[in-house]
Amino acid sequence: METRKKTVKTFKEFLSEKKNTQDGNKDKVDWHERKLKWLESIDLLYRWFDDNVSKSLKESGYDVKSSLEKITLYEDYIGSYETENYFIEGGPVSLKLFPAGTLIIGAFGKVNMQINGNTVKLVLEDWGKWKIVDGIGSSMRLRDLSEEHLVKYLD
Amino acid sequence: MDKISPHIKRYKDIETEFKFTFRQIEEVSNRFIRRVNKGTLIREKNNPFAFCTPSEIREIKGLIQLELERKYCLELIAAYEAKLVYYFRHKLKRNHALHSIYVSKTTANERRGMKPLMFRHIAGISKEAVKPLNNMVYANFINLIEYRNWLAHGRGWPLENHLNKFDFNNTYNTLSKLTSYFPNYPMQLH
Repeated sequence: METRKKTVKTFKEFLSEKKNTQDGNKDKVDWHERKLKWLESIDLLYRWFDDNVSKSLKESGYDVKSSLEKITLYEDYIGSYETENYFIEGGPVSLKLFPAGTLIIGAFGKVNMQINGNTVKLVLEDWGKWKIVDGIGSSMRLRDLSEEHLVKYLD
Repeated sequence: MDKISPHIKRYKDIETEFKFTFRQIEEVSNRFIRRVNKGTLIREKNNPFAFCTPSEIREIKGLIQLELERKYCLELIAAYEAKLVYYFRHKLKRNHALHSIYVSKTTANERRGMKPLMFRHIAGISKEAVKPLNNMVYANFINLIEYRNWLAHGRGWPLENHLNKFDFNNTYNTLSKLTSYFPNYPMQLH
């Protein structure tokens, strides 16, 4: 005989459910760990800009000024933490990087980049793997963070 | 022809659609915020909130809801324009004082439907029929027409501050207060 679906829990069922939830908490996100990975990824990104943009500018004979600006971000569950905006100025390039946060839809973090007046999103597709968001809406694509893709925004 | 067009939407239907869509936007954005805050990586193609932080989602949600509010305000105002025109042409009794104002503010062709009867005519009628009784109701209606023109003409000029008050509820209240000054205004025309 088919049994009807029970909607009222017994006390025992309630306790067992609670216990399972507590066991399940083991899989919960380690927000501290996430924050550290995020901050590390920002460092990695800034280093990439140093190694590519700043270096190329210097090699081309331009005077390059780069500076960091301390900021405080707040995100739910993670709380307040300090990080830095990064600015590079040299010759025809004016580049500003503003970390937006690690809690975003579709990636592990985002840094907004202003490059010669254009605003471009850089997203962390995977830990250590930065991508450029190209286009909007249904034509949105993720491009590798590379010099050739970056140059497009300088024109 | 004195039958009302079946295409004119009732207030209740417009309100249901508006509230349903408004709530959907609220629920979808809240669901995404909850999922992001759980640390879930959401990879969905064409996600309207792609690469947004929770505060950006809230901001976009606010903008979409404002847009929705404006679209439904225009829909509501347009429906009321059609209902008011129908009322003046077919429901207003000839022996009522309002009828003589209506006659004085419109041409025979406008009354017969050979030429369009519009909000500007209703504003003229209201100036004589409603303003002396309740200046606030009349003033709100004139502001609403101004807001309607801004929406209907592609928002081609800055929206003046005093028109910001017209959300969906305020728009309905303004129109329903105006019609309360029109005798024999049928319930079916709400």
